[in-house]
Amino acid sequence: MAKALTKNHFENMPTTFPIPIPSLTRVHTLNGMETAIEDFDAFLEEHITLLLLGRFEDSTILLEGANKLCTQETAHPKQRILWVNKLEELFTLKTKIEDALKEGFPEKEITFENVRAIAMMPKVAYVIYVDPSLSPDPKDKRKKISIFQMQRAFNAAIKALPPTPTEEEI
Amino acid sequence: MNRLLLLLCCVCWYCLPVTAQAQFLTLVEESTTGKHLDTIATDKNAIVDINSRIRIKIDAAALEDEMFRFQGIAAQDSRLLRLKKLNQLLRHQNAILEMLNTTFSDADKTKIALRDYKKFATLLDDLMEEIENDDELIELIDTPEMDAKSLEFDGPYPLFLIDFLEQEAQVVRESLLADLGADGQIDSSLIVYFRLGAFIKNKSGGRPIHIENFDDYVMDEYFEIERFGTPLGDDEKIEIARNKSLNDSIQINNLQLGGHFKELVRLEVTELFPSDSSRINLRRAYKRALSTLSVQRLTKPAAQILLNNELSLEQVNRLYNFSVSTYETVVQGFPDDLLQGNTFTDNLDELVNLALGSYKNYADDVSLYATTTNSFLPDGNIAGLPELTLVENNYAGYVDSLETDIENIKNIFDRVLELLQPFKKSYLENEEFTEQVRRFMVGNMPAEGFIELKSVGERKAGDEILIKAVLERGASKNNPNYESREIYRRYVHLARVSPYFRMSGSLVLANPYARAKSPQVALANKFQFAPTYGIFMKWGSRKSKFYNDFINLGVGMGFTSPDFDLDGTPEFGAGLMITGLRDILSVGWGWNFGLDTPYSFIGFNLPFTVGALPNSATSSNVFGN
Repeated sequence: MAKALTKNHFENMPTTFPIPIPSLTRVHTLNGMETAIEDFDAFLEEHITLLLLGRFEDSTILLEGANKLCTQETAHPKQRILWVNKLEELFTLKTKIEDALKEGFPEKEITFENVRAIAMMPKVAYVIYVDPSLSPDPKDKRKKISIFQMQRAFNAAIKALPPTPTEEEI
Repeated sequence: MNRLLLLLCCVCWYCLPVTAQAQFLTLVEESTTGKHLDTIATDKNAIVDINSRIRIKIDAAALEDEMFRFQGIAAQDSRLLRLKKLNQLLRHQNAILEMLNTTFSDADKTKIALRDYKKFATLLDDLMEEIENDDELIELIDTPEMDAKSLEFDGPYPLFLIDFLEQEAQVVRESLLADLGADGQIDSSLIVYFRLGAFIKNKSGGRPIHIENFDDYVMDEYFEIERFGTPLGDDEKIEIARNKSLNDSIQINNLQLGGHFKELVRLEVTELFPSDSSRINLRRAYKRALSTLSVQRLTKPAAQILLNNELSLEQVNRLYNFSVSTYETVVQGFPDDLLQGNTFTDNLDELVNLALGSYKNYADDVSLYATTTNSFLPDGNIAGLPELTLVENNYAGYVDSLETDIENIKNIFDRVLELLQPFKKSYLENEEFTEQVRRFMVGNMPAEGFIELKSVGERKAGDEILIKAVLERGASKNNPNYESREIYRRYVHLARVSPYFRMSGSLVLANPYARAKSPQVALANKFQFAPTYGIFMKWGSRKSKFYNDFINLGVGMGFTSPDFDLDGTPEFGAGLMITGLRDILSVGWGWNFGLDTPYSFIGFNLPFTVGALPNSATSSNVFGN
């Protein structure tokens, strides 16, 4: 059952993970390789996550855009960005993420190295690629990292959320 | 060749039956309490509650396409196809904007349910998926430049997307309009306007009514049809009778009234223009001055002033004729033009301005001559100035009297309009839109209009609202290329759908059927006439006009005063009753509390009063055995 939240929940939420840029209040990173898997699981359990993998071009604009998608008035309060940008953390999480991708899209063969971002709730709901042309699915041809695609990713995650029993709580 | 194609395109378009074309308007009935909200089906009777609100939703995408086609743009024009696509995408915007302005406007997010987030995500994703599937659009939107712009945008990303689509659509519209040479500032014969209007119609005629956002009519008197209606009081009956006779007489005498008015105007028009005498004085002063000043060499420069202004003085004649013809035009158009708000005030004001302008030119010339001339008489006075001044004085007199004439004409119009005001409601409109019905070009029409039935003034069940939309080429009928095409026409019937109460008196035939158990019942016959007063609940149907007009059931209680023991003192009876056929027929069951006996009854709401009933002493006047 989803946990009921109070009005001040988000303001008082403990910051388990560091926030790389102070102004980007919804963008988090992990605390190092040692606790990466536990922290990753805990983060996914708690949030509607857009997982960003690796370093990429125009990251300042895109991270700012991603943060805005989580703070705009139409955003679900649980929306967060988890940016895994350290190589060792990526290696640590690789198997876990590959398993999640297989579970989310069993019909697709998705190469971990070609994944730039994943919307998770905590199941995989949407994948954004490093090079979408490498995806065998022609529907993925536009799924390259951008604010447009990140908004679509969050849409997919929210649509896939299981309904709460009372539908009154968020 | 292109012209031939355009012609063929237009011909094909004209040949399309109206019914085969897209549905531009959707009617939605909404109760003012908000309990009922339903789209009125296009293939069934449109019946709405008499106290409700009719929302008229405009399909901007379909309408714009139609308007450009009416303007002569080929259906396969790539820009038109582009606009159509953008409009289709923008169809999503209403639902998205509505949620943004309602669900997400509250700062307290704990009030927002998960289903709202899911609904919004679905709406937004439908739009974004369509954008993604459009190669041309996605190339424009999904770029680093647009990402940077979205960060500068003061609002959420969904709003940024909608804003972008609207801008794109506007660019295409402007491109199409630019091709047609229609910039919206002039009455180009190629500009197509959309107009939407409504009329209420009943037996005594019709009148235009206000559609919010689409016309400048003021709302009529607020008037809610009571749901608990008492019988009409004497004052109300007198008022109704008075209104009816007034309406009838107006209908009958409308033509006569018009004829009398025209005759009156014809008599007045010859005496109306004092400016005519001042015009003659001016002409006379002008000719005299010209002949005097043309003789001597010294005064010839002054004569030149007159000659230079001859053209403007000539206008005096034309002004006079024009003002008379304008006035007569109004008279010819009586009463339609006046009732439709065409008072020709602008034309008349233009006349005055023309005359004033001409006078000023002349006065300036005289003033300039007085200060710069070298033509002096031996006595030192300026040559010809007295004659020029005399003409100027006459000219000023003419302008003054013309202003007075125009003011008089306008006063007459105002007085006539004032007199016609009570007649306006009952005047049968010919369904023509007045100037108060606004014109909309592509891209700037409101998404919705509504008719607040409580504010359309007097109405009753059975009245009809005609909702009509047209496309017009050119804003004036005087435009040689003016053309009007009706693209929507629908009658909406007003009915008392919501339950309401009614009280009425009628006669019933009561049958005390348990006579064996009630020896006091002394009736020789099966039925006895008895007056009944009923209070019953009624309701209407949104589906069946036949039910509303004929069946019209009611359920309630009936209070009867029979005299089953024939002792001359009526007993009291009460029971349940059902009415039908517009309350003409009623049946029911009751209990006579005086004799403790049940009775059934059947009643007829006959056209004579309960007070005139025969009393029990003559109750042998019964039906049956």
